[in-house]
Amino acid sequence: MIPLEYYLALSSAAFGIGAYGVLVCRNAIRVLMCLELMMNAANINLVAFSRYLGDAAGQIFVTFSIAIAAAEAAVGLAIILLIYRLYGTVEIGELKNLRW
Amino acid sequence: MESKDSEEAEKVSLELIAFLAIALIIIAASILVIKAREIVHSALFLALTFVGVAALFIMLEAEFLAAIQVLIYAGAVVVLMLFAIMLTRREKGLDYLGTKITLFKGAASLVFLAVILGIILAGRWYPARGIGEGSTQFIGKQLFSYYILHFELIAILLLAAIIGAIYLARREVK
Repeated sequence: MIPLEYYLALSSAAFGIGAYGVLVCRNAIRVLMCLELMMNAANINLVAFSRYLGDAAGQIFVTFSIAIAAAEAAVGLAIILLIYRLYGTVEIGELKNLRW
Repeated sequence: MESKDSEEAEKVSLELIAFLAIALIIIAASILVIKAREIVHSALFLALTFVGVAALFIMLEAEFLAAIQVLIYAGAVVVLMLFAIMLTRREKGLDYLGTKITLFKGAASLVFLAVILGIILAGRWYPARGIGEGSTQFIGKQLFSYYILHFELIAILLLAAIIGAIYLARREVK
């Protein structure tokens, strides 16, 4: 088996890309996509540790994490649609009402 | 003994090649999620990333999770994203905040990545041990015995999410 560090390096790279996207992107839908990327990176970590430690509990955590990610995507997109209906845009730079 | 060692080495190198190919797909697709000009394209690259992660799960002998990953992420979540994209207006122009801030944020992400990679490479990790039982059976048994409370909580959470999403996205009826 290849060393565990490879998986950890890949998942941290994916997490870094996702974090960059969350910080930089203007479109709220794209920000949500980058959030999903970060969640996937965390899942890779959990599964890799569960494989390399010989403990399948990590896979159960990932099952829960996927369920929560699905719920988060549904509610997040509903909120984005509501924002679009109210303001006519999904650019997060335009949404200044809650800034104070 | 020697032939067994060489066989093992060949297996490791094959695994390494597969891992590097999948890693390349995941990294490239997730960069393209941010960089694609059309947001529909970035949704499709997101699906590619999810499929790559599913392949990684298969390499880690988590077949059940790979199936779930394809069904829920590459199936449901990406379709949800596509619907949201279709229901909102297409943004014109570059999809980034101002360049100066972008540079700063990119540098911040890179520093973060460097710190994590340094910690990973400096640490000493356990040698590999396999999961004894078939992992799908194990997950099923554990999910309905030891983790039954968590399972029920997730069910309630999903119900709440469904109701919340419907409430938020519904149209006012006059």
